[in-house]
Amino acid sequence: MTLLTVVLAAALLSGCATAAAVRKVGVLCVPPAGRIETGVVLMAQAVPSARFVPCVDLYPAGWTLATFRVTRGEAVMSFDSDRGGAGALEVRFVQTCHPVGSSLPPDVLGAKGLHEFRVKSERLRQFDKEFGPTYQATRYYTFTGGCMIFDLRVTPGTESTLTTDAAIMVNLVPRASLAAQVAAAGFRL
Amino acid sequence: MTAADPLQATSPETIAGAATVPAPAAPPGPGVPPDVRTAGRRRRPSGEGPALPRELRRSGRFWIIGLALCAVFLAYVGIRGDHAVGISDLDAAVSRAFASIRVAWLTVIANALNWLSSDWLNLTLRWVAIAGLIYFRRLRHLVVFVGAFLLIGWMGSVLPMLLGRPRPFDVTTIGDWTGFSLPSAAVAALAATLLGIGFGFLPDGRWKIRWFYATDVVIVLLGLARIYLGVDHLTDAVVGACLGMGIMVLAFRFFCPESSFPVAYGSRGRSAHLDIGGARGAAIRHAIHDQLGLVVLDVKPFGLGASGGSTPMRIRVTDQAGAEFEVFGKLYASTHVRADRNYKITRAILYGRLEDERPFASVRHLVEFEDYMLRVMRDAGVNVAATYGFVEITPEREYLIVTEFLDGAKEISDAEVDVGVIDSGLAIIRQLWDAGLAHRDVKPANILVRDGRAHIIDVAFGEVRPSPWRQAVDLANMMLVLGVYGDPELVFERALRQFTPDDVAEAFAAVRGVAIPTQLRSEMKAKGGNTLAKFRSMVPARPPIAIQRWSIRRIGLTIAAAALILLALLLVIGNLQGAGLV
Repeated sequence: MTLLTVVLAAALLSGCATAAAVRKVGVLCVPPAGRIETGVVLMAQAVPSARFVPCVDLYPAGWTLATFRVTRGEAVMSFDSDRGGAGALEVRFVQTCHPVGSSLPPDVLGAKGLHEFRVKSERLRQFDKEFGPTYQATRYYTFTGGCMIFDLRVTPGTESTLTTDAAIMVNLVPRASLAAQVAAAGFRL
Repeated sequence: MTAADPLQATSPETIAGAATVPAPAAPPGPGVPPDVRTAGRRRRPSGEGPALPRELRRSGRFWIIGLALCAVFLAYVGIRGDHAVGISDLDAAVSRAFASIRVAWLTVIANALNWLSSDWLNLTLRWVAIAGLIYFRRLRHLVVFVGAFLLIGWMGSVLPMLLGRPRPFDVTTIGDWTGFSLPSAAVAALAATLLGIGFGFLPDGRWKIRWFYATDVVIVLLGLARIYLGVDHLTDAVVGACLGMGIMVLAFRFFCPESSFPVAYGSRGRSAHLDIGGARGAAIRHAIHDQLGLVVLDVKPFGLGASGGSTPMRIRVTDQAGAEFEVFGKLYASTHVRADRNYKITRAILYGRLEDERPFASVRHLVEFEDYMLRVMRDAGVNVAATYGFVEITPEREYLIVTEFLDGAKEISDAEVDVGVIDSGLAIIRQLWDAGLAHRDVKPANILVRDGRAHIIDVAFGEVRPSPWRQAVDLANMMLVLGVYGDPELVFERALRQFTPDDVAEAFAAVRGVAIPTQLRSEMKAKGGNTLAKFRSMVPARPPIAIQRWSIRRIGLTIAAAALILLALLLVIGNLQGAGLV
């Protein structure tokens, strides 16, 4: 096997390994006993001003974490859905955002999970539009020191179910809770 | 050669590592002139390295150990699971100590240093380096450079996610960062980029060493800056540097060693010829002594201009009896085989395959085959140089074939082409036909004239039991060579003494386009007079013999080449998009 073949094969195989590694990232809202969900902690470090940090409550059937990119000032998680397609949901977490569109009524399907935090629900907004063959909806959840943006792009006809799934799946954990976990290990977040 | 060099000795018995008692006289090998005594050959015992071992050098060995330690450390972190806090005491203490000395001016410097690890700068440096390597036609360096980056980039994205270590606790981060912290992908990327540039562009020597020292300094400063800014732990930076440097160094040491793929500029820079001084020169001397029983007195490059596929040399030797004479050596490296393979694939895509033209699988096969063809042709009475066999320099990478030196021989372009030369040249083809052989590369550079007789060299691409078409092409090309430098009518007349008119007609019906070697086509064009047309006007009329143009293989190769180009483009675009450059 020539060097070139090795390089090309490695380049192709690396994509599979990367996808597997992403699924190992700890982003659960409730960590296993005695552990810290380091993905959530990293997101907290990316936006140190935020009082809440995105996390995953549970994965509804057919959903997986696809990408996890965190830089100083921004964290982005994307999720694949077997019904909605690759990258069906992208969750962006930043310090500030500029919501557009109309306010989302509190009783709208899919908003329930996040309502439990009562994070300035009056500024919960939704911007929906039909875009080609893809249903696209962007929702902004703002709270003290941070903003979480849901970007749902799914196959038309599945949006109702998948929006509910997304809202059940992604939640917020208080920074204080994370700080307590880290402090229990002897460090300061 | 120094006075201390044991190979200066004229007697094989005094050579270091050889038997201290006189070795029994061995009969000369087949094809070796009978008066040459080649006793004193020595078998390399198990466990002893080859003449020129694959070179890892001290830095290579250092990085093997370094990478092994990194692997152990990362495995330990991965297995423990509580890495976020468990092993961080030392790191946290270091981070706190750095944070305690933060002052404004130092922060500015640290941020400036941290900018060196930005994707933008890294990618710019890499693309400039890639463009430079393409410009200098260092394909091997390019593949190793890109391959190492793919591996390092992949490790820099996958390992941090698998290990999941957050940024330092207890301190406020005041610099830019991306992703989990262990290993530091930013430090690894810059270290690899700078080292890759050093390997790809700087020849061995003082400037290269300086570049590597400067790289060390930059990487240490970057690591310190990132710890100061609270974006990396101490161990993140150390492991990142270790991975970036270690992988790049080992990639070049294993796949692109300086001795085989030297970086050179000027006329040497684009040459396929290997340096036959230094360690390789010493290895050649040892290998010829141990494997052929000849003591090398001197090695000089010879006929480099006429050879693109090997490194030819003239070697002065003595045999066991003390007789001094010259032999001809051709050093083949795996690069030559690869170049030949790429050339044939490109030609197959562009023009279609010339039947039975298959590339060699390895350099060992190439040199074995040339040695075999020399022996077969000599047995058939063809005027070829006698072979002494070939010697191993580096297993599966470099071999040297040693043959009789045709002293006083001139290339046919510099010789007078009289009846004797014409007859002996045509006789070569007659003997090849009678023995069921073909040379397949009959061109001026491969026909030497000595004592008024033609000799043929470079038989590596010869073939046993070739197709009739290939044999006919050999005849036509030989007649064209003789006709270019001599009188075509005389060549035709003399050809009819050894071949039938039908044979000659078939030859010129077969030869066309790519079946004529490039050098011969150029010479015909330079000399003018349209030698090919002259011959065709003399030979009996015969319909042209078609060259196979399209085949399943050619279609497959074309599709594969297009797919490779597309994949390369996708990688390029993906890389640019990943960095936000497009």
